Amino acid sequence: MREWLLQVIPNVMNKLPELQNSIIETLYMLFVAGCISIILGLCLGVILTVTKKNHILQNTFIYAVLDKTMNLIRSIPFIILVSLLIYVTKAIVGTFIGTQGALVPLVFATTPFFARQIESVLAEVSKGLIEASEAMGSTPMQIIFRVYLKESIAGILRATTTMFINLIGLIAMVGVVAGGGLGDFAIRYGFQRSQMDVTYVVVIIILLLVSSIQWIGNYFVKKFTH
Amino acid sequence: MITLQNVRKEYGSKKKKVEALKGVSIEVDKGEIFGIIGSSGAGKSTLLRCINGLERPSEGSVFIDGEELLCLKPSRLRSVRRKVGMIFQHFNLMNARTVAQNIAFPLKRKRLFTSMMEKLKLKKNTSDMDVERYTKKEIQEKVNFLLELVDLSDKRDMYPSQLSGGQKQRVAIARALANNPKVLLCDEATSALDPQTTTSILRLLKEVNQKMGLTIVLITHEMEVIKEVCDRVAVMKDGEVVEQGSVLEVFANPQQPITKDFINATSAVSKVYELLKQDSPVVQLQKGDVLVKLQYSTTNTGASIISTVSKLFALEVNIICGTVEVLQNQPVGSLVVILKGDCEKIEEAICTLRESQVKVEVIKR
Repeated sequence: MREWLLQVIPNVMNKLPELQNSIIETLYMLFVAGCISIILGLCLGVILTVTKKNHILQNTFIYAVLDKTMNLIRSIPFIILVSLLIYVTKAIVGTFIGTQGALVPLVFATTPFFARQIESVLAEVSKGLIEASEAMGSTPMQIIFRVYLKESIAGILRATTTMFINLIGLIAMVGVVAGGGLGDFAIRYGFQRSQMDVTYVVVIIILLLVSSIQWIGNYFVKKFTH
Repeated sequence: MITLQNVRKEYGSKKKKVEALKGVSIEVDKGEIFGIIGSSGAGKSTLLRCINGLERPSEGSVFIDGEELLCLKPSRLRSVRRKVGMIFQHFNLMNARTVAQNIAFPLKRKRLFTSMMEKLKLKKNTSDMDVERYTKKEIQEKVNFLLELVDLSDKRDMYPSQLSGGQKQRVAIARALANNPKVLLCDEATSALDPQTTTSILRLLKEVNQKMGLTIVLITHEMEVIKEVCDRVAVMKDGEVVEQGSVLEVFANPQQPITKDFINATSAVSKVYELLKQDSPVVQLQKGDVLVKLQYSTTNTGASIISTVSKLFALEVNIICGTVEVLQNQPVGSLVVILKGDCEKIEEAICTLRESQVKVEVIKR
């Protein structure tokens, strides 16, 4: 087996520890940036939903500010966002390079996207249901947690799956700030040194990663759909 | 129990103002079933929403149990709302919760942050905050009781998507009753249901009205619903109440054209006009015959009118169509008949009928 692998993917086999390292880096960024984005995105999505006109905590000012800011951030290509944010990144994590330095732009790029998705998921909760809860004397907080979020669990999980898969795409680009990860690995060896077998292996690993995220996501979505 | 005084509601900007309610005053007594009927856009939904403050009137006042709704603080308003249940045309159940969880929803109302703070000992127990709290066991018992009441004990762990329309409305009723409300508001609660289911839901409403002494306000566009269950009725048109009174009064003696339309829509008598239009053989008259519509209520009953007239004046009375309803144990009805016989006798008969408080309308002679 090892013989055969050495023959087929020689360039990968002689840097296995480095490959392992980049997988860990990718997973680390995926997990940390993903979790922070979920929390921030959920909050922003909920705020966007409830402050909209004719919703429970209508506030046109907050809505307009959030709405515009998110559109702004979303319209900046990721690679430019990375360089735009270097001072912000430095202020938050102390450095703007390496895996740590990549986290901040990742969160900045993912959160508005996820918040928009949450907003559209929450918009599907029927107006009548919100009205019914108000008629039962629920407080705005109760309506957010016990109606909006509870009713859209399946949709939120679906959005989360999409968000993680998107994030994998972004993580592949953080090589630009020496962020490491699988993308960086593939560019450095596969592209710059023309070791095509490295690229193939990275593609296969990413494919496996994406499929397993999708599979896990589908499993939970199904579980929470009634 | 509920008093609305001169309630106005306007929508839209200054330029394009839409008046949904133009000064409505109604009074609903404790323990009665009060119906509001009107076609769509008449403002009845807006009116109902004013009763529990989902809609804020632009002018006027709303009293529930002596409490003026419009000057309450939000927290106090919420606790008033807990005493006012509401059911909807589209049920508005939570699809992510089972039947039992839906019914328990209004019972579990510990505030999230309050309970967190209590656990962290940051805040003293605040259970006196005019919110009743129930233990798990109490909630279980209450849910079981309500499931039994609406006859859905076997469906407790199903999700709303697995239920039929009528069953969903039963769950909604159980949920609305969970907080032991004094008032139940029904927003077109039977409009999405088939006739049999409608009857069973209305029967359930009547049952809870009698068993629990619940005051019910229901809005509908179907006269059938009003006839089935209501004690009193208000007829709405273009944001105004044009007629109100006991169902019996309104049925026996409708004043406004809109009321007559609603009543005719459910009555077989209106068919006669169609027959006349089509020149159907059923309403062909021979010379001297008179086609009349008789409307009677309360004191006299149909059978005796016909037989009396026929005996006294030696007339042949041919019944074309008719409806007799029993409203609050009083028969109310209308008949369309052809009177055959001597011309003068027919005139005398009509006079006699009018004297005995039967409304006679000569449709054709």
